[in-house]
Amino acid sequence: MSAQLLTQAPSITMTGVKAAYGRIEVLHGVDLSVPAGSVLALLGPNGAGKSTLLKVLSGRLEETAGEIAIGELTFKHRTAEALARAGVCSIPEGRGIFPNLSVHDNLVMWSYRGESIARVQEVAYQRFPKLKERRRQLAGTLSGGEQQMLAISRALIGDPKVLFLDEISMGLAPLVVAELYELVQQIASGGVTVLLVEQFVSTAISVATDAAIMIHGKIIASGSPEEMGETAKRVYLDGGE
Amino acid sequence: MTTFLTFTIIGVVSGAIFSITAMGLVVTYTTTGVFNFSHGAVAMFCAFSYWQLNQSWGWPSWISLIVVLFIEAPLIAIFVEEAFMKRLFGASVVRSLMVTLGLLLILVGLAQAIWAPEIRSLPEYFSGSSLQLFDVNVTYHQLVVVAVAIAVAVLLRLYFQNFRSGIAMRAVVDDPELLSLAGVSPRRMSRLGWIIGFFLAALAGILISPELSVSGLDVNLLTLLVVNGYAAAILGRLRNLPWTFAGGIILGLAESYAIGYLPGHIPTNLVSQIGLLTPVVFLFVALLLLPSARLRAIGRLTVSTPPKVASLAQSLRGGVAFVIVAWLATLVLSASLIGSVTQGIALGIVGLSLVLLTGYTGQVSLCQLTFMGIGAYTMSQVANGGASWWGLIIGIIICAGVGALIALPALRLQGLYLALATLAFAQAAYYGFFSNISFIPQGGAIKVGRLGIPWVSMSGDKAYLVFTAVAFALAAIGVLAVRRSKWGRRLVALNDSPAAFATLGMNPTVSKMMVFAASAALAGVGGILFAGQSLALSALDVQMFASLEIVLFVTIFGIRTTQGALLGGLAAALLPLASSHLPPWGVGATGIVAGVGIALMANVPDGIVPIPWINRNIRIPYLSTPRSSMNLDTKDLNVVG
Repeated sequence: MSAQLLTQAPSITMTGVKAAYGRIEVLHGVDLSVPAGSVLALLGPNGAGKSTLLKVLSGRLEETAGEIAIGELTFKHRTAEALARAGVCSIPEGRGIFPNLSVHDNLVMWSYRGESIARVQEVAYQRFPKLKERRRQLAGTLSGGEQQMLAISRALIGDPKVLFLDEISMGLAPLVVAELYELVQQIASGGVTVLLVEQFVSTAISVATDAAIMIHGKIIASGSPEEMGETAKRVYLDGGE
Repeated sequence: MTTFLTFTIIGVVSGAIFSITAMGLVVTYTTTGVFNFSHGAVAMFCAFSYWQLNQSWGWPSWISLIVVLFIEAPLIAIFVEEAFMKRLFGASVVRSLMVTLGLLLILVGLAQAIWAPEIRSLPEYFSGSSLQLFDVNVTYHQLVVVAVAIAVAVLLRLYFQNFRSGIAMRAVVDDPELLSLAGVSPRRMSRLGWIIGFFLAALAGILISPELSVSGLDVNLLTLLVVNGYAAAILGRLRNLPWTFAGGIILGLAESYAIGYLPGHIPTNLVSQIGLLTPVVFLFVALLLLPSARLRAIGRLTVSTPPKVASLAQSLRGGVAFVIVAWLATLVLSASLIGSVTQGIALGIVGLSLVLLTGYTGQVSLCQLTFMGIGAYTMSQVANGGASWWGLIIGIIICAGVGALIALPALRLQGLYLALATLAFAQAAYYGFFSNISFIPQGGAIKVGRLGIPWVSMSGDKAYLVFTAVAFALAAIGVLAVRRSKWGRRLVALNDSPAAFATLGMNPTVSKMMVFAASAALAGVGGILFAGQSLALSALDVQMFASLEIVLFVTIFGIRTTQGALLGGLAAALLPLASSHLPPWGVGATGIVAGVGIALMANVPDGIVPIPWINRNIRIPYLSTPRSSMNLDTKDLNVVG
């Protein structure tokens, strides 16, 4: 496999993408485009397929049909590790950490994207001094907010050009959520294409430049965040299309 | 004092080898989540290969060492990972156990096919050279063994603590998907885990072989090295390397002191078996001392759709049909086949005990044939070499009691520990009891009679086949009735989610123990019928590896179905018959066939009988199970929602 690397924030387009778990199809033909350097908030009720969409984009689940283009990347098989090395950073749902490794060892894992271990620690500890205090502790014993900080610190390393965030606010105190999104905004302003999935519509549209609504495995609308926020409320309350 | 020192040194040396074995097991287990039952078999196979290169072909030791350790062992590891293990990520304990057990049988079968029995021995390294340590002679070989073990321990520790790929190997167990998101291929990491594990197994096998000077290289003894290995590893709870190292040394010392000081204090007929019995005792003590594992909270869907449970009417019809088929079979089969088929049906009853235990409850027992032997032995004792219904009842009670006792220390822990404990028990029972000439006379067997019913003579083999078939049908109907009962639903619930089971106010441990006892009793009944066929119980019938074969065969055909039990029993009884018609290299055939079934297992977790197309195309009333509507894998379920 030739080493491919994103040199600038790419645009992402999906056309007619379908994906399934076994025989249960979850994405029924998704069309979505994320302009280069934008922050797109993907809104939608539980079970709409948002997390599945991120899984497909990050290479953890293979699509059964359709086309996906991430900038100039031309992988035959978009494996998660190849994408990660090319500059696609994906923070999965739940906590994107290794609970049975120490904080320090978690950071060592983040260095696989090409940065030196020393540099990784420097960046992470500078942004989140709390992590330095707890570097010998097992990551699973950190508080929810600290765990998410550790997870997000991966986005600070190796200069990613694409960032996928899956409900990073889940189960966290509002103050922590605000801090995390402040960081997301900072990262985005440095020339990164961001696609984020979020249950809290207001949180999401406060950082987003674009938004799309997903229901029943399809994108039903896209536009400006404010507009979509309104639409989302209406759609949620009506319970469907 | 000198004696004490001598035994200490011998203990430390064999302890060092156990440590290497155990650390290999731990490395593979922690990086792949699969407990490799074939670890000892790998050691055996590599030791034999080394003998072949070094002794038979006369290659220099260092070249042989390099070839075996750095080429053969890694290649086997890569092949095994590619062929079987990669599909086992996140699989249930039962499934991964079966696959490694199958690998064990393949390796044993291959070794038996390649190396015909003869006495082979490996010389010690630097043989003849020794030095004096506190008045005791220590050979260079012993020093090398200890030094290698210490080096392995230190290097592994350094590697897993300080090296990036070492940390990644620990990370892969935690969350393989996240590891791939961080840019590392999880497959590569677990392949590395297999390679290191197999390398250490080979190393242990080569180092221990010169110590086996009396019997020479022995397939069974070397394969059983895994028992020593996991006894030691349990001290480190299968995770902690320093404790595992200590466990190996302690086990070696315990064994050496036991050999040195116990004779004279224990029954003389056990003396020769001390070496094989110590790890078993050690294992049970360690199991008792281990803190309880937390209950697994989330139930998981282990297979697509469980085979449908036959209704009472269906199972009655099926039972009658089976007995009629069995009777028809007596009309066409040759006399020698009738005997084997009868034994197969009796083994089918043992298979039913596995359906109850493993199929419904998800517990693993690798000592069902031991219970079979206990049942038959009891019958022989009670009925004085004949058979009586009292013997049956007492046999059932004794089997159930022993079963409960064996299961107790392991049940409060995870499923894997129960499997380990039962394998250890099978070993202890075989070497301490069944192959012990004071219980079963050497070379012979003890007499066991045939059960019968008034006015019907059972002396004819045909009559006895039908009788055994009736017994199987009754047992199958009984097992299915249990499955339909309230208790049966409880067992399945327990298998699904022990935590939910406990929160409903039921005691998981008591339920598990009851089902283990019931299963042991059923295996005992099978044993009484089995021994009745040949009118004798011989030690060979209850060998440890035979226990593994029956578990594998039943699993291959479908461990949740009564039909799977029957077919598995028949296969276990009839395959050795077929292999006797094969050329000499075919002696390992049974093992290899059973083992190759594991290739199937990796894709068909529920066995052959419930495969949809078989049911669709072959519709025999007794064999029909509904076709599955969906094919979901556990992996898929975690991610939905």
